[in-house]
Amino acid sequence: MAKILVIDDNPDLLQMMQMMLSGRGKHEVILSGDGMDGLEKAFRERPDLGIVDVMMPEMNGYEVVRQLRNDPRTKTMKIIILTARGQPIDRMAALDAGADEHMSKPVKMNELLEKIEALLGPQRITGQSHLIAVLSLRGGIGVSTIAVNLALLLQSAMPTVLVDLSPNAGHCALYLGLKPERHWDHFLKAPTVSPEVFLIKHPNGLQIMAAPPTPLVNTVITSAELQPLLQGLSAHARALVIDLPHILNETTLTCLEQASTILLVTGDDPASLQTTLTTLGVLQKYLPRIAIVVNAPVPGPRPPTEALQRMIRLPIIANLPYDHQQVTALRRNMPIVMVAPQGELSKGLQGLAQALLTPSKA
Amino acid sequence: MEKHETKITADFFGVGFRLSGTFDMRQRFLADALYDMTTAYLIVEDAYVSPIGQPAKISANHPIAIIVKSSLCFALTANRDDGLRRDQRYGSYLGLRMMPIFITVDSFEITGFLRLPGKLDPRVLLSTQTESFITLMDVKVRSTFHPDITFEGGAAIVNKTRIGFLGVQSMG
Repeated sequence: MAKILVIDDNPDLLQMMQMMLSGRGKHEVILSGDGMDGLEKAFRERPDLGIVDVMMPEMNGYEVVRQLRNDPRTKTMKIIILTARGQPIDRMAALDAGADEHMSKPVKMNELLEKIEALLGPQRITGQSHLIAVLSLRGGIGVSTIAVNLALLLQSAMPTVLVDLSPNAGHCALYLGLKPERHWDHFLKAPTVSPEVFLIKHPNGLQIMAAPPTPLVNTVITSAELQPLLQGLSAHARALVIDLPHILNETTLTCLEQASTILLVTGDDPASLQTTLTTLGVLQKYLPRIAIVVNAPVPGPRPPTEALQRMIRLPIIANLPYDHQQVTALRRNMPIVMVAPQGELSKGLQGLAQALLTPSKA
Repeated sequence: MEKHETKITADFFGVGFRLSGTFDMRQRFLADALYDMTTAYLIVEDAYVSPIGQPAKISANHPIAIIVKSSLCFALTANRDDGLRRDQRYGSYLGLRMMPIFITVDSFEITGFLRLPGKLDPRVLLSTQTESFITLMDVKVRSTFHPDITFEGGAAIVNKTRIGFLGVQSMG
């Protein structure tokens, strides 16, 4: 179910949209009769998708789309322009204004619903819960550290499960001072058993689906295996934080398909940035759901966030500082947010968790 | 009785602009209204005007717009039937042949098909004594001065007095 805003000056069409989108599409529908009111509702309600007419008095649909794209609260929402202007040039004008799709009136409801589903991506199997995928194709820049600490912080706000999908003896359990007595490989070998049976628990309440303690040879969790795992866990938590392997294999791509937010972690050194930019090139279809986390796992001078932002062009949701206490935390098998909750890195991680808890990011 | 939409949205092209508006077909079809030589004007509702070269710019919008027929280059409809007069619609013998045709109208080049009952007679076709408009089917329109801007439609109702050049493959 998604939140959909329909902006159209035709009351009959609004009524029909309400009926069809909520009835057949099972979506939450917000209606607006003009562009100004539609913008206000979009900024306030932050819908997942907007359906915008072009020919409206006061403010036309192109202008509405441009303003939605220029506002950080709505710049990533999906937008369909639905208009009686159905010429090829009108499609180009709609896309130029910033819409994701252009459809001509009269529209067949099945086609509109299909287009909506395609734009929103596959049905999030997590339902109402948030699936946050943490990824970097460059190793050694703190993906697991971020995933572990983020999961701990989210747990203080909502039931959270941390999933370590590394096939190479992942370290999430270790970072939390836990033994991976149960892990996802157990679930794969007993798929009829509910996955929460294989969770281990941290004293603060966070539950972990650990990785197997020994590296698995030539093993990829297939989409068919992963879907029931995520589905089962999402029924058990409001947030799922997934520590992804540093590779775009079937496991990773399945998670990216399902994720509501993808945190792409990068360092600020040239090699990390190059990896990040090339990764973004490959992950084009996921761009609206990707937010960048810059991490500094080593000390030294750093480029300003503005320079990084200009280079990466996607929102940098957090720029985490180097914190020497992280070394101590790793040696103690304790997460930094527990070892030094007032430290700079912990504060950065708290800001990241807070940003994810706001409706526009979560 | 033939079932049809009570209101259609059509594009009306003048020199340098395009007006998208709604025409109420409860009284009569769009083609009947345009072909009617006893009226010089056409009333459309919810009219939005864009310059031809800037399709994303809506330079004016009005709840009611009056189009001066003699200034209109052509009207473009999405559906074929919406560009036909009542007597040209289902059951008519008109249109046994579909003849490819090319015409220029002010700053537009239009290709499409002419529905003919028999041989092409240019004197009859282009005569403005009895009818000021002709209907082309399955049309593609290119703006002469913005060749990358094109329009398509099921039918175009073209003002004969605006035609500058007409090209056909044969007179047969």
